Amino acid sequence: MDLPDALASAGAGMRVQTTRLDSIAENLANAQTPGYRAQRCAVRDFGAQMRIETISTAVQGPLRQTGVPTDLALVGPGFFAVAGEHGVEYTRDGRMALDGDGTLRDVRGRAVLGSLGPVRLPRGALVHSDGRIFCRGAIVDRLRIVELDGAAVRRAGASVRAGYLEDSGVDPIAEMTALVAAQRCFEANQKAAQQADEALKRAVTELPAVHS
Amino acid sequence: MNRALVAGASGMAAQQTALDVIATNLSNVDTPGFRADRPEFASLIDDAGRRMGASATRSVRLFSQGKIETTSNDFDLAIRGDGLFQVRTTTGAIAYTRAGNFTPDAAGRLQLPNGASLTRLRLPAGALGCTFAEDGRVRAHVGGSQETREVGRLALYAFTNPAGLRLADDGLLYQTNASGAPIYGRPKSGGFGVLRQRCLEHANIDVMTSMMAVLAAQRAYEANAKSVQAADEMLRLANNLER
Repeated sequence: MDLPDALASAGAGMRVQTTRLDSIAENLANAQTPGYRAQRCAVRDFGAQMRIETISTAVQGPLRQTGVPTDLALVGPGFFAVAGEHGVEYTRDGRMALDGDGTLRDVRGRAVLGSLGPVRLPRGALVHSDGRIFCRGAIVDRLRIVELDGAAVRRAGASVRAGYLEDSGVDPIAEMTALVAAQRCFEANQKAAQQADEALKRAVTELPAVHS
Repeated sequence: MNRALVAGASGMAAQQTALDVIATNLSNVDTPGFRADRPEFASLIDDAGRRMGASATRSVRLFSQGKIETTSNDFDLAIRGDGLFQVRTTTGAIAYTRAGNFTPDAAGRLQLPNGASLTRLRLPAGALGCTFAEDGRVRAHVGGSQETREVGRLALYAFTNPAGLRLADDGLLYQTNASGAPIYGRPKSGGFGVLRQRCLEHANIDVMTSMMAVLAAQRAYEANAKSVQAADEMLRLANNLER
């Protein structure tokens, strides 16, 4: 390997560890955000040209009982459909609440969508595990729970637990371990870069002296 | 590098806010009828769709049942189940509360310690030995009679979105656009809870759970501080490349 190559590799390694730290910090900050999916870094094209991608994992977060009837947890793959500013958006965060009109809204104030548009919960309504909403024995609506497969949207088989929340899928211990590893890897790369730099310096300043 | 610093700092701020909410809950553990707040975390995403850490700006008031304690005061009332008492404050405004530590005033109105009095109920002069039934009917001996007679009936109120009620500094809840209009009802009917006499409802706070949440917030704060430290350390190493 040429020295400039070593320098480039060490530089790329430092950049990779920086991106890793970014996603670790992001995960740690969201260790208590319900429905949050931990992010992982994947390094591709190992060599002088390293590429790093951040992907969301699909690990089910633990369920926590809250006793709040409008807290909804999804078990299994799937998302709630909500009415965003620019069309339909998807979330696993099940902290829903009723507004003054009785419309079900998520924690960001977006209306939760059912089979007939925004879901309205009458007093005493119950959400069944398949997403159907019952009021006094009659079905009033069904939550739109979907799976995303690229651009395709199809009905998901996830079940709904009312009175529960899906906690963040972040494992703090794994994140702290990764944090230390990222820091040390960065340090190792920094040392490699310093060594390569040192060797280059000698090559530039001392070798010409030998030949003259 | 900057993003890790930003995410770590936002996480620390979020945990600080969460701790504030828990501390407020804990300080009200002995306030009758107090409703606890739950800190809500959300991930922050900037306009370009990049993730920027977390925030805990919003909190949701929980309307779960608090523990009911038996007392010896005839005018201590508690609701087991759904519903709120409607009171008129000293300034004439209508407010709602779960606190039931009433005392009758000279005019026969039931007053809370802050001076707000229960609406729709006024005990006649000379009413003695008041009993409050589970369905809200109030009976008393009036004018020295042997028999008790019905002197009024208590009403309860509910809201479509009770979490939208505004908690004012007098400890009472006020109607807002977010809460919707009050729904009128009687205890023990139409989904409303039952009334309990000589009982007080405590705050719906579990001290153990709250203490656990304090510990969790503290550790989470530390974890976020570590990512700030790590980002700082990496910046230092990068600066030291040129010796």
